[in-house]
Order: sequence, then structure tokens, then C-alpha cells
Amino acid sequence: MRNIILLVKLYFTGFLRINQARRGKGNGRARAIGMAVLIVALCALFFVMLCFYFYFMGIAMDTLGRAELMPVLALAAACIMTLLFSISQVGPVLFQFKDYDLQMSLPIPGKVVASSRLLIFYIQNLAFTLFIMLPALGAFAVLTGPGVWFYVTALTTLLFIPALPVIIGTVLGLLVSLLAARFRMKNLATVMGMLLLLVVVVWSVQFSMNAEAMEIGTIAAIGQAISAMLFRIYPPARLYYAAVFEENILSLLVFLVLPLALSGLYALLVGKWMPALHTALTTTRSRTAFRTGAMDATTPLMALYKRDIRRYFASPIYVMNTMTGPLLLLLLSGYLALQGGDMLAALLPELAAWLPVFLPLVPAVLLIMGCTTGVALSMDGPYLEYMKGYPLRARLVLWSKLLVNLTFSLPTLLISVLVLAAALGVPWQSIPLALLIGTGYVLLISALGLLINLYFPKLEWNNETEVVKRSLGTFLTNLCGMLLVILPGIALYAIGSPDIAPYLLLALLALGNLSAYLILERRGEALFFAL
Amino acid sequence: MLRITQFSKTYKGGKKAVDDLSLHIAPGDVFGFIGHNGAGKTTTLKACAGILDFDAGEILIEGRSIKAEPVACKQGMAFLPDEPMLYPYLTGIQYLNFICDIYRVDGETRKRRITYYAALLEIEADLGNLISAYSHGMKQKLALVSALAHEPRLLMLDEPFVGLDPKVAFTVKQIFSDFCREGRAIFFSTHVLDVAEKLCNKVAIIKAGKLAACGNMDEIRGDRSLETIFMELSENA
Repeated sequence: MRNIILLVKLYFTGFLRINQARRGKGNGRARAIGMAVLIVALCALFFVMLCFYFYFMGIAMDTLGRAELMPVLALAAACIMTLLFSISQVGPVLFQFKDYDLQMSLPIPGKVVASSRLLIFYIQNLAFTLFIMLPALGAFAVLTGPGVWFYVTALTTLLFIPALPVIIGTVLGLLVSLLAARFRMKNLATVMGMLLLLVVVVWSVQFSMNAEAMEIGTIAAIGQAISAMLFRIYPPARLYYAAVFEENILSLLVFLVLPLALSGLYALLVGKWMPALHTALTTTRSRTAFRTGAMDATTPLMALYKRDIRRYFASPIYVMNTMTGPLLLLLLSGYLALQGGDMLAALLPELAAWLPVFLPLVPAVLLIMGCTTGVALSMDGPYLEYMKGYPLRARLVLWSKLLVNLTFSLPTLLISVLVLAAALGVPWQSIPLALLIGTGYVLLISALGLLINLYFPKLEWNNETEVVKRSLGTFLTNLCGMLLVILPGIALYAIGSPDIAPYLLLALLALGNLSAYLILERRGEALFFAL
Repeated sequence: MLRITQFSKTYKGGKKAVDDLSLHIAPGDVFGFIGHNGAGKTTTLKACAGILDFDAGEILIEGRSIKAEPVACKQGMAFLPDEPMLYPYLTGIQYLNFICDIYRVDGETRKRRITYYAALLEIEADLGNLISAYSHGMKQKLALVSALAHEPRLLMLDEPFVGLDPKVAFTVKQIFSDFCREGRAIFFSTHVLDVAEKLCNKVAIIKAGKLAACGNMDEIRGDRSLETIFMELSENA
């Protein structure tokens, strides 16, 4: 156990630049402290928002006489998210970490290394679970004033909630990774397999929600239907419900013991086969009969672009994280086209005049989620220093990274705007304007992401998940992007003129783009070489 | 070819890595840069390669300042770090193609040079494999082929002989000799004093960021071995 704790401690010492903040010197320390303060402040802000959100949801549930469903809903949401995270991160976090060779060469059993990686994964997901569950449980306690049993069981089970989805997600993700490793294009196969698995999980959740038409004749029936739906979405939620709210001791024991037993089994089996699993996931096929053939020359920009595209597809976690938004956008467009967007227009008749304005905003939001530039430089990590030795202006390196994002975003934007316009019955005259606005957003977020990455790089990392999922680049790019869509959207709606609004938005976007690209042009070179 | 004048570099926190260093590497020189760990060799090489900014002094490559005209300077040189940083997700040939594109080498020329150097270093058969599957030595060979493929006039290398097997090390020494015979120059750091003694016509010894000795190998060495000189300077300077 001592060694597991040592390895976990080692990992978290480098996590979120904590050690740099504590022991660094000069600008590095100030920067690390600044980042830590920013992260804590933003987390606190979201936490307070969640408290209010769950409080009002609790009031709504209380009117149905089922306030206890609110924490169960939070549990199901947290567990499904944990399951999805676990599936997608299993490779880089559990097996393909940078110091694998070092750790496996130490005189400690493989099961200790496996347990420490699982524990790291669990702790990260526990933080997320606490973030969701504490406001929900707090709101429930304030609204209903429950007895001692609730406090004891709710607090005890809290630590066990993420364990089960972590184990299930890890095993599923591992199976997909191992299967994909048998293919020649291993990374692509991993991405496809992971995406398929995620679609299956999302589809099964959706299926569970629609499995039975809700009987909404009585208030009690609504509560019954919601609880049945939650238990279908995440079956262990029934155990949690019985343990915490029905005071069922057997359910409590099963809820606590099951993840412990599975974790032990996991550590035992994976620990035994850790080197074999690592080898299967990391080795590549080799041929020894290569002959140099004809070679085509291309421009430095195209060479950088091709390299960046290869770098992108070499990282399943990077692809998964940035492809989800555009894929969702295409699925949503297809769904609306098949279901008939008239339904949406009929539901919100007062918004019909605003459709040309809002039409590009939906793609913009989802494409912001898929922006690759926020971490594009960070992903190059240690290689970036040697790129500075090439006879190139930094401008070319930055443009190449912009082009990668535009390669995926612009075609997706074009398809989705056309399909959405057709589905929602938007007049064809409005389509060019919608495309211009959408393109404005894509260009702006591409440049903004790159600027954010230049100012907040994370060049030293242990695995790609740290960059893709947990770096300031990703977080700030998403946050800024969302604000750039939401704030002007609300402001323009408040002005109340759907005829002028698109042109105002376009003017704002032009101004934003001009500023962002000017900064990139003037400061990009210096910022790049200062990385 | 390369002129370093009163070069100094102080890292954040006040550590002076290099202090008032001046060197001149002329065309045809194989210039060995010797010093103990942390003496400032890598810092100097990185500054010459335009990777590292510096506070004082001037570095001129073929008469051009690396600070004022970095792209023009880099176009005529190649730098190989001690740990070959090659993109693991590319195959060997993809990496070589990438480098040739960056240095604008045309298709026919790159094929000829890559085939020549890859065969010489016995790596051609592996060029179709991903770099992630390469051993340390293979990565070093690939990095060397990439540096030679665009025919730089100045080659700068940080510890180029670490990890090479004796046969490859011999080939590399041959390549270096041929390279400089054509009027180009090599500036490299090394701990292997025997190699420096046999290969270099000029040598500089650096201690704690300051130049301890510099000149023609024969003048520096006299009738003693380079190892003896190095040990004396290390202890006395």
C-alpha cells in the first residue's frame, strides 16, 4: 500500500503544476500560482452555480413529492459521465504513461503499478463526482431535513460512487484498445472503436429514456416514471436509492462491496498482465525491406500541415475530444432533417423570425467544442523546442495548426448549416449570411485557441489526456468560445430586431477576427519562440 | 562559418550558464567542444541553433546574426540535439521527407541523398517503420540522415557519438571528415575525448561557462594527451 501511495503522490505532485507553484522560482512560480488561483476560482464559480441549479431542481422534484430523485439523477449523470471519460482515457492514463518504463523497472509488483494508475484515475473521477454530488446532496438536505441515516450513508457512499463506472469503463476501453491494436492503422481503429462504444452508451441511455411513454396523468405517476427512467439509465442507481433513501442495509453493503471487489480483481489481473497489455497497446508493426522510391517535394507549409494532420490522428484521445462536437453536430442536423424541423419551428413560433440569426450559432457552439488549436502547440510538447531550429517563420507553424482546425470545421459547418436550413425551413437568401457568420466563428475560435495556447502552454506532460482534457488551453478555449456565442446572441436578441441582428453579429465577428489575427501576426512569433 | 563573440547566457533565477564566450569556427573545421556536465556546451549549441535566446554577445553564421536573421542562418545549418527528438508518429521516410520539405530540397536530390546516407548508416530498410519502433541508435542515425539530407554548410551536434555502435561511430567519423573536406564545418560537443582528439582539428574546453582553452588541437595538446589537458584544466581553472 505504501508504494501505491508513493506512486499516486508522485503523479499528483506534477498535476496542475502544483509543484511548480510550491517550489518554482520567478515567473514560472507566479504563473503556476496564477493558474492555480484561476482554476480554483472558476471551479468555485461552477460549484456555486450547481448548488443553485440543484436547489431549484430539488424544489421542482419536491412538488412531485420525490425530492430524493434529485440526488439519484445527479448520481446517474455523474456515473454516465465517468463511464464515458473512463472509456476514452484508458490507454493514455492507465497504460501509455510516460514513466511506464521507469515504474516497471522499480522493485515493485506490477499489480502495485496497476493499482496506483487505477487509484489516480479514481481520484480524478472522484473529484468530478464530488463536484456534482455535493451540491445535489446539500440541496436535498436543505429542502427536506433528512435523518441521521441519510447523512451517514450519503457520505459513506460518496467515495464509492465513481468506482464502479471507472472499472466498467476501464475494462470496456481496454477491450476496445486491445482489439484496435491488432489492426495496422491502430490509432484510427482505436478512435473508431471508442466512438462506436460511446455511441452505443449514449444510444442505450437515450433508449432507456424513451423505453416507456411517461404516464403523466398524476403527479405521483410522473415521479414514478422519472425514477424508473433513472434506474434504467444507470441500474446501480437503484441500489443507491434503496441504500440511502429506503434504508436497505443489504443494498448498502452491495453498493460498497461490489466496486471494492471488482477493483481488487482488476488490480490482480491487470497487474499480472501489465507488461503484456502495455506491449500489446504500444508496439507497432515493423517491416525491414523498405526501399526508397520516388519522393515528391512540397512547400514548408504543406509539410507542416501534413505532419500536424498525422500528429492529430496519432492521438486517439485528441481525436475523440475534438471530434465529438462536430459529430454531434452532424448527427443533430441529420436527426432534425429526418424528424422535420417544422416541429421545432411550431414549438417556438416566436423564434421563427430569429432562425437565420440563430442558425449558425448551434454549429458554432458544437464546433467550438471541437476546436483543435487550443492545445495544438501543447501536444507537440518537447518537440516544439527543436521546431524552433527549423529555418521557418513561426507564422507558418501557427498557420499549419490553424489549417488543421479549419480542415475539420469548415466542411462540417457547410454541411450542417445547409441541412439545418433545409430542415428548419430557413429562406435560402439567409443561407449565405448564416455561412458567413458560422465561418466568422470558426476563424475566430481557431485564432483564439492558438493565442490561448501560446499564452497558456502545457509543454511538459505525462500523458496526452493531461493536455487534451485537463489543460487550461482546452478549458479557456471552450469557455471563451461559449461566451463569444452566448453573450452576443443574448445581446442581439435583446435589441429585438432580427433584420439587423445578423449584420451586427457579422460586424462584431469581423472586428473580433481582425483583432485576433493581428495579435497573432504581431505577437505570434515572439510568443512562439518564448515557449 | 560560425563566429561567437562575447556570448553570455543567464537563466531565470540568476544561474550564469555561459560567460563571455568567444569562438570562431572556420570553413573546413571539425571543432570539438569539450566540458564537464553543466559546463554550458548545450546552452551554447542551442543558442547557435537559434533555439535559445541569449542576453549578451553576438552569434554570426556565415556573417549573419542568428538573432536578426534566424531563418536565413538556419537554412544553411543543421543542429542535432543529444536526445534525438523525432516525431514518433511518423515513419522514418515521412520524417526525412518532412525535413527536406522544410529545407526545400527537391524530390530527385532528396532521394539521392537519403538513399546514399541511409545506406551508409545501414538504416534504409527500416525507413518504412514508425519512429516509435526505433531503438536509440536508429533514431540517432535517422536524425543524422535528416541533417545531412539538406546538405548544410554548418553541422552542429550535441554528443553525436553517444549510443552509436563502434561500426556506425566509425562511419560517422568518415562522414564528418568528408563533410569538412568539402569546405563545410562541424561544431560538436562531446565527452569522448579520444574521438575529439582523433577527429578534430580545433578544440575548445569550457569550464563553468567560461572558456578554459581554445585553439588548434596540436597547439592545445602539445605532446600530451587531450585527456591530460582536460583533467588539468578541470582541476586548476
